[in-house]
Amino acid sequence: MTESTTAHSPLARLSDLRLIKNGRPVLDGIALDVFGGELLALIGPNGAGKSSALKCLGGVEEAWSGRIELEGCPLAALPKGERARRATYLPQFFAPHWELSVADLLDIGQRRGLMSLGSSEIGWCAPSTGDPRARQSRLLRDLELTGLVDRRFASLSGGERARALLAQALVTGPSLLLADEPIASLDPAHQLRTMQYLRRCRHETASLVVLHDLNLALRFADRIAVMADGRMVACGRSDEIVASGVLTEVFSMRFEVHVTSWGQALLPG
Amino acid sequence: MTRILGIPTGWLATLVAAVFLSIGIAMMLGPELLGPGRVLAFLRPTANDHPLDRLLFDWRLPRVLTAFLVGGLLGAAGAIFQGIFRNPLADPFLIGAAPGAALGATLALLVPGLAAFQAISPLLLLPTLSFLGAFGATLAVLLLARLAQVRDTAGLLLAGVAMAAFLGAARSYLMLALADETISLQVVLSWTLGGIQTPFWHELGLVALAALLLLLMARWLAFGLDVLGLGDDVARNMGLPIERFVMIATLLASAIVALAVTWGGTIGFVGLVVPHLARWTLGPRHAPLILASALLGGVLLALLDGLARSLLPPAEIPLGVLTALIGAPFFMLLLARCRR
Repeated sequence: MTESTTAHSPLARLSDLRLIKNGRPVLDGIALDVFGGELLALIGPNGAGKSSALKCLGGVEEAWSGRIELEGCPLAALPKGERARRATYLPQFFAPHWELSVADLLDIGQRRGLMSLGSSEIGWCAPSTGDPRARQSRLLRDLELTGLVDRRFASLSGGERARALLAQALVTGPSLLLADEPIASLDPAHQLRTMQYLRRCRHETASLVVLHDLNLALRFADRIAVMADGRMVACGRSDEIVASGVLTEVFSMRFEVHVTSWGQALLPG
Repeated sequence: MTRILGIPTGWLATLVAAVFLSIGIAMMLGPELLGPGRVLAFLRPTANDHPLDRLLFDWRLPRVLTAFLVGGLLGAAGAIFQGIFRNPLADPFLIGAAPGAALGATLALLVPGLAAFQAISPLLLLPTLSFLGAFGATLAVLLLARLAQVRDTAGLLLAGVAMAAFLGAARSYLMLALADETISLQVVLSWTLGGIQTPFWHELGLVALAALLLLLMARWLAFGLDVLGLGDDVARNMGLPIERFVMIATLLASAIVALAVTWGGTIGFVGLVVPHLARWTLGPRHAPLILASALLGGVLLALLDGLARSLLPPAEIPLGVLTALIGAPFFMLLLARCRR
């Protein structure tokens, strides 16, 4: 990523994004900027449209209207393979249909975006961005997967699966990770470690992460975007979001604000 | 572990050895069993013109090689269909592709106008109609499933089973309605139960060439099938144009099935059993899987065809009967394994 894109223009920009599913507006004109080098948490009650926003940006939903830009380029104008290599999407629920090993997942992830039929990108060979092997082994080490490379995905524990999927999503070093509740199935220790990891690598791969744990969002995100009923309700730094009282409004409940060693924390009040 | 074409070297060597061994054994099998020495003598390029050599060369070798090719095509088609349907129980015969091909071929053989044309250009009409039948049937299954908003692959498979039953019935009806004294039902019927045709050498060359081309194209689709197996959302994010890809893969698998059905009739279960055996040993990645399924399918069918020729001489057991005898119990085993 070049300095100019990190400094001012956003890595990804959604404007007036609308999505209608089964006659119901799921996204009702949302706007959001994701900047390079940041970890942006997307929070809101169930059914707010968080996952749908992620899917539109990741090329999973294609029937949206409005405008999405990725690194300054309209999403619709980007070749599929190019888009795939810039923004990786990690779904909330994911189970491969075949008994793939962790190594298989990483290998497939390594070649993402290289099989767009009908374009010049056809997956005969791996791309040559840096040394993929060195990158893979670093990723495996960072995500504590080194000993699990030859294990079948189905034989892993929930936490190991989540980390294997994260490794697959990050293996090409995309500029943006779109993660839908990547820590939902993890124990507290691994939740912390995963969020720390996402935060640590955010200068290489910025993250737009759907989170349900408000405290992890407050603690690790550079900014927090709040959605409700298909709309973007607020977006700002953690303390701004807490001070605005928007969380009480959106979740229809009161929160007590506590100050901890790492910042503000919320308890249902 | 070194790999060649995605397959660990040891396994590939084993497979290739099995290919030669199976062809050798199949050459020995027949109404009259030949010793290995006889077959080896045939291979030696000496000038002795034993009448048996002529027979082996003109009839048995093309037959054995055709059985090998048909088995290879069915194995590869099974692997591709299982990849498209994302279900290990998808089989060209269960999901309607092969019954569709058979319907197309029946039309070519029985419809008066077409049958006349078939007499003129047998190499073109039958494969074309088989292909259209296979493609139409598979596409219909996929489209119907989409219209009915069938989300799970089991539902898709059931739609295929219904389609297969319908096409089979349509073909039986056509056979009864269109057959007259000028057309031998025997030909069509033997075809229904499966049986390898014996081509002339030049025909065999064409079939082998077509099979090789189709398999090369299948290898090109392999990575897309891997990605498809990660689920629609991830596949789309990874840049796979799902609808177009499934269409192209279906086209190709249908062409493979059509070629197999043209030369072997409807032989069930090979496309189901073989990719499984391959998956158990090599894992689910499609590039090695399709290649190994092709080799293994060829080995299996060359041997089974040999048995079909030699078990009840002078009669020949329809090959489809043998494959079903082996395949159906295997299918039950598979179901039991999937439940677990």
